[in-house]
Amino acid sequence: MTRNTSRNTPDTSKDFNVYKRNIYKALKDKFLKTALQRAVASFRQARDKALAAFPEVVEKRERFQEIKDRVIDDLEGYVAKAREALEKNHAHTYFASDADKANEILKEIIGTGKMIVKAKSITSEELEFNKVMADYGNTVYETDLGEFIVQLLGERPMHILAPAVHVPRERVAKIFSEVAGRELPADPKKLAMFAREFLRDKYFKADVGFSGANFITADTGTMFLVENEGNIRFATNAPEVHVAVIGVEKLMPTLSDAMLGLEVLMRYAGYLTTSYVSMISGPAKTGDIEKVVVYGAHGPKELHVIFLDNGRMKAATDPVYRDMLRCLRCGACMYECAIYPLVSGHWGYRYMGGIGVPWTALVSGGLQKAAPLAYSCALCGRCKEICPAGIDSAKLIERLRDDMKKEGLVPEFISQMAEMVLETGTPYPKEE
Amino acid sequence: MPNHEKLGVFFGCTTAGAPHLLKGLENFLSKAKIECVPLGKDLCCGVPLTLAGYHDEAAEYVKKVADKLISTGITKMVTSCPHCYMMFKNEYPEEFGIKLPFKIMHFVEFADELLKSGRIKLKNRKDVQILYHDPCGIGRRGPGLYDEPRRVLEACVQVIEADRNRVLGTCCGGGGLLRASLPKLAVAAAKRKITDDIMPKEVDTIVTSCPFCTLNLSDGAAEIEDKELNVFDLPQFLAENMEAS
Ligand code: SF4
Repeated sequence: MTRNTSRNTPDTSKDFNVYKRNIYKALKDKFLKTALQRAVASFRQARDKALAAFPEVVEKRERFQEIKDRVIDDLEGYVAKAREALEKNHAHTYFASDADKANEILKEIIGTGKMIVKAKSITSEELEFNKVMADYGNTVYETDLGEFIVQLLGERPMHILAPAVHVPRERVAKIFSEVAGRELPADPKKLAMFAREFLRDKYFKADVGFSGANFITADTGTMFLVENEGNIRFATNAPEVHVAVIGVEKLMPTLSDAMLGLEVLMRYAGYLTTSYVSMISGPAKTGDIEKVVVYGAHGPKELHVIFLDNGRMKAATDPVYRDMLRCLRCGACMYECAIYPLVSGHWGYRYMGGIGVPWTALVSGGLQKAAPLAYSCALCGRCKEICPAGIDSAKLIERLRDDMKKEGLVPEFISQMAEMVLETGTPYPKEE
Repeated sequence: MPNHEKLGVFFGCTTAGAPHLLKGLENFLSKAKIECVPLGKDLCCGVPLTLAGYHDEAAEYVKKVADKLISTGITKMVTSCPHCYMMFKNEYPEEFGIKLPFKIMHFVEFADELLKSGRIKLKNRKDVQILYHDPCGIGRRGPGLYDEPRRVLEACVQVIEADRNRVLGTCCGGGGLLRASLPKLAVAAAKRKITDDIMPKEVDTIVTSCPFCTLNLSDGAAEIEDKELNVFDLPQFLAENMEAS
């Protein structure tokens, strides 16, 4: 009787076949292969070096996990504390239960006809920030070099840390030349210099700077922004208004907890240190003239912080799924995966790779979008060994497959195989 | 073997479904003169169900499998597939509340025991180098059976280590039903695993202890143009390299 419930919804096979074609196409992409091979090799070297230089980070990652688990136990409480602290610092705070709510708040704050300079933020992908803002009559400039390239190409990021990981220099030169209206050589240095020159005055002309954050503390309301390029400093400092959308899982109890998280993030992401860490707790202010506090001394006059739920709070209540909220987005698991380097972000939606599967299912995309992704994992579990947050993505994915079964989202031949086991006791057709 | 022991060997559907793997395990058992109840040639342990998302449906199914196994009266069961092994050892009791009343061993443990007790003897082929691939099922997803297969192989050949091995060994891509859902992706992972693990030029043999890894790595090896590579499952390899007892 129960058997009949396992039939797929009609779209499942179609979705999967489209996805499969795309994955197989990516497998044949020679550029992608070379780019990823290089990226994996240099990441491994960098990470090994960082861990060797700071061996204590291995112990620190355990402390980080404990702290994060405490936060996940009480996200609501920590959001409240952080909001209180931020308001005390003269920042405006908001809570958005989902992406639509966040976009409404953003439209309200930013308005229309504005120029926005944007720091790299995967959380903003959940909101489709660039599209929503463009549709609302605003101009958005991605300022992270990788994101800038991806934006010009009209593509989507293929890695959380290196969004343009899949784009070889020749393609960058081509698209930059079009923007520049002159021929630019396929030289990474010259290309980076062009982006610098092109974006420089945008920071000062922009009305709004937009960012995410790597951490935000509940005790002081301090957001941490970790970067190398220096674009985040400009984008969050030059315009008069700074707006940040921060996933509630980015909370850390105290400033020193966030420092610990910072060390773990940097080393596991393969950096001895990054060039910059910005810590922002409120708008710019001065009291230098007769102790009268004036906001917007040199930096932004206004700081708006939107805490985004979008499925996170619900995930936090599930004993298996909650672990995904510990993710630091260091990217280590993707580089060390047996599958991701073959196809990059084609295995993903807005969030990618193994950890991207639960994030797609529960935060950004939904179960149906996540179904083909869930069946792309070999469940080998190496990412758990590598992950600074100790996330066992394979375990989460196996659990998701159960949820997918309940919704009729299992790819056809997989469900056929399972039905065959139930009916005949073996997954393979019997040869008579 | 103590008298009261009744040994079952659970072939598992993947081994049973691949003639060369089936033959390898059968040859091993007959050469080593192992008396056993052959099991699981047409009875799946149920792991494809739990991996597919059919945990709920699996409950009734595994109960039936357990009843069949128990009815044979075996006291010990050896599986050659890490997935069957973990299914019986962990999932049956933990997920389905079924405690099987016999000892469950993976083939690598069994072979290690046989070698230690002198029940099998391996040829001296120390001039041969092989690379051992750690299957995740008995490695990091299981109890970490890393030393057992190496001990066995070292009694016969030289074991070369991959760049990343044991708990950090690179997956062959053959697990998680990937060979069923996206076979080309699975095989591409195997190929990358072989080329990435920087196989020394002179090594032309990979040995592993999982039928999925064996099949997937073979398919991956077949796609490497400039090199002939042989991939063996451990029972197969031992069967070919045993002294007649
Ligand atoms: S899952 Fe772990 S390894 Fe992967 S990005 Fe998140 S923190 Fe890093």
